[in-house]
Amino acid sequence: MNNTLVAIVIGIVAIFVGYNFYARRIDRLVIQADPKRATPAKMYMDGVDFMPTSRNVLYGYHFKSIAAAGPIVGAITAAALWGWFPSLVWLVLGVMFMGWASDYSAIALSVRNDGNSLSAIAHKLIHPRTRQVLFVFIFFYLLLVAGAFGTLVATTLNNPIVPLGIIALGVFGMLAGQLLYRAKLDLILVTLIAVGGTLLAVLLNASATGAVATAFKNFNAWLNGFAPPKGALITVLDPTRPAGQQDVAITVSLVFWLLFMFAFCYLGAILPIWRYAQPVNYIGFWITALTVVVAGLGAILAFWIKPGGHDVSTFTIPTFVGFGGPTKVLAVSGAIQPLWPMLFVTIACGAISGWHALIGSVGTARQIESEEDMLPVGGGAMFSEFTLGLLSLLAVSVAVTTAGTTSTAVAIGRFADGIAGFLNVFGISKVYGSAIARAAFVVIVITVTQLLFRIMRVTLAEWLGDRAPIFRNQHVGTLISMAATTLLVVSGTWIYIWQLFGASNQLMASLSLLVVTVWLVATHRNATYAALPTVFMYVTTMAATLVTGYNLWVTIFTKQLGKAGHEIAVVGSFLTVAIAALLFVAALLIAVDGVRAIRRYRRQPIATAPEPGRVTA
Amino acid sequence: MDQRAGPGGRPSLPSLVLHQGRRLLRTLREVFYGFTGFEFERQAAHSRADLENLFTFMIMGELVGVPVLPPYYAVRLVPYLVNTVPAWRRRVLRERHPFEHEEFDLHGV
Repeated sequence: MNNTLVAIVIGIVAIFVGYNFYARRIDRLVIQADPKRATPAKMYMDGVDFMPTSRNVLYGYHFKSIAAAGPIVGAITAAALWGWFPSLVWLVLGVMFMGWASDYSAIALSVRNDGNSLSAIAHKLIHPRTRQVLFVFIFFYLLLVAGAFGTLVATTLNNPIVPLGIIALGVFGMLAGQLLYRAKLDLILVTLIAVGGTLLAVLLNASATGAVATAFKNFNAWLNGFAPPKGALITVLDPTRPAGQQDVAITVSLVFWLLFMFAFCYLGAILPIWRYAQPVNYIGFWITALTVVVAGLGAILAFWIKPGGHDVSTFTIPTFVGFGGPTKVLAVSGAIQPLWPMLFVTIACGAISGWHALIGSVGTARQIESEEDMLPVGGGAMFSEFTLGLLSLLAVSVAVTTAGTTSTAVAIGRFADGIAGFLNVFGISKVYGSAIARAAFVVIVITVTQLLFRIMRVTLAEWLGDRAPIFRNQHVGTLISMAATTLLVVSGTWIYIWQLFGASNQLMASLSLLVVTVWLVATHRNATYAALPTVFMYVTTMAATLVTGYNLWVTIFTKQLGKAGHEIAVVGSFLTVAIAALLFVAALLIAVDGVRAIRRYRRQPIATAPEPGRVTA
Repeated sequence: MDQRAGPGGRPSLPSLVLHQGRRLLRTLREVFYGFTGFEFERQAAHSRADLENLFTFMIMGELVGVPVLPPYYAVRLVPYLVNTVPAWRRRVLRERHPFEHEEFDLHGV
């Protein structure tokens, strides 16, 4: 039971059953997708925003847009906290009953509402203030994502075997933009140059004893020499580490790599999209896609092929840790990690994600050629993203690195080790495999992070730009976003930031499902398939936000307040609590408006067609 | 008669396999294009639309109180714009989501 093949078979069965016997049924009976009905892409075709596109092309495009670091990090963290079995169960049930429904419904909603975005439809269907509240919600949601991802990137770059590949990614990204759009070179040639160059840099930096890694190691040591002993600038508390190791140092080198990441992302946020962000993402896609595809095949074949006699298909982590997570470890700080609700927010994107709904309603829905394409594109892409979460779970479950904590460095190490094991099935050495996995991980996270800052400045301008025009300045908006992120990264506890992000992401999913429910009620259709996940995710995520708030509170007052070296961590914890409270209130406001809207629409009689020949006002 | 047809008018097995194989290949090619080249196509379309908006604005600016071109030249250029006016109106007057211009880069989180 505890091997990769069984988990993969379970995953395939879940996709088959969920798609064919549930999703298709809803598509046919509730949404009533009609190929004869004109879609916004056809009605308003302008060759730009509205453009009928083949379902296959759109599926690839949409999947690429939604698949990123979320499913990877969530699965890694949850497996360490509760074991692989509950993580697998939630991934499977989440995507079967909620994930596809959220993504597909957001697209269907937009297609049936002239291609309007989710926030515009919420404005119309629920309440005018919903749109404004949604922007506040989105900004802090993005801040949490940036904080969580920023820590991951800085921690991974602090490892001397990683940085060269990421530096190369930035350089080749810039080069690719110039070659493609200025020199008008062929896309295939540019791809070969940029992806080949970046991969070469990754491999040059792969060996821990090699010249490049040694240079980075010495560089980090030199930086840490500025704050003796061991370069610790600030100390934060990580309740998931073993007793005696819960004080985590934020070193000078870590801060340096964080600043490096900001410089990388600043270019992505400020420069025209074609010059930097887009080519960087494009190169990143190739590196991660190659890694994921080869590792996925390796995970399947690992059951039969044992490279060097080593079994890389059997799970090495506990099946089930317990309903309270690693209670002995957590007892030291007084923090709690109950399986419900925390598992459901720790694994976010692989099971269900609110961000997908936003993307689907803003972009993909306007290119749907036929209503019959909504399910293969929206639902199909979500089921495919589930496989990414599953692969990450498998990788972290078969790794042979020392288990026990959810500290970021250990979790990433386990993931890289697991992926290296799968790549080893094809004869790729574990040293190179591990380096490729780490690079792919950073690439997928950093490409998202650069765009987060881009979106944050846009949201900030939209939210506050009318009151204070300075927020419309792209440099100001970006720098404010980065400053807030820095405070979170250097002072916050990663696991809390991640779980708050997960909660806000799932909350956004339930809010999008709420809008869908209101729409279904308004059009007098059976809303059960959307309403039940809405209620479950809503209650779960609100409870998770409260648990995280409690954990922060306990950690601040019992362990950190008044302790030398922890001052900034206390400030950061208060900031995180404040964000948690804000998200809670914002979600509550939207829910109250949503319930009122449902009641309002329920009272409305079903509109009947006017009698022939009768003129109505 | 269909050249691929076997006995009884039904397609023979090899031709059916070949047909399905070609279909699968076409699907895979399209999905691959969606993964790779499609975003560049969309980027190019957006850039072109931005330029067209600017051009239309230059010609029609007078209507919204911003006389960019002398009316003589604007009137001479109007016929070239007629076909694009409905799409331009929709594009410019449509309510927009603030992320719209970033949508092809909103990679999932």
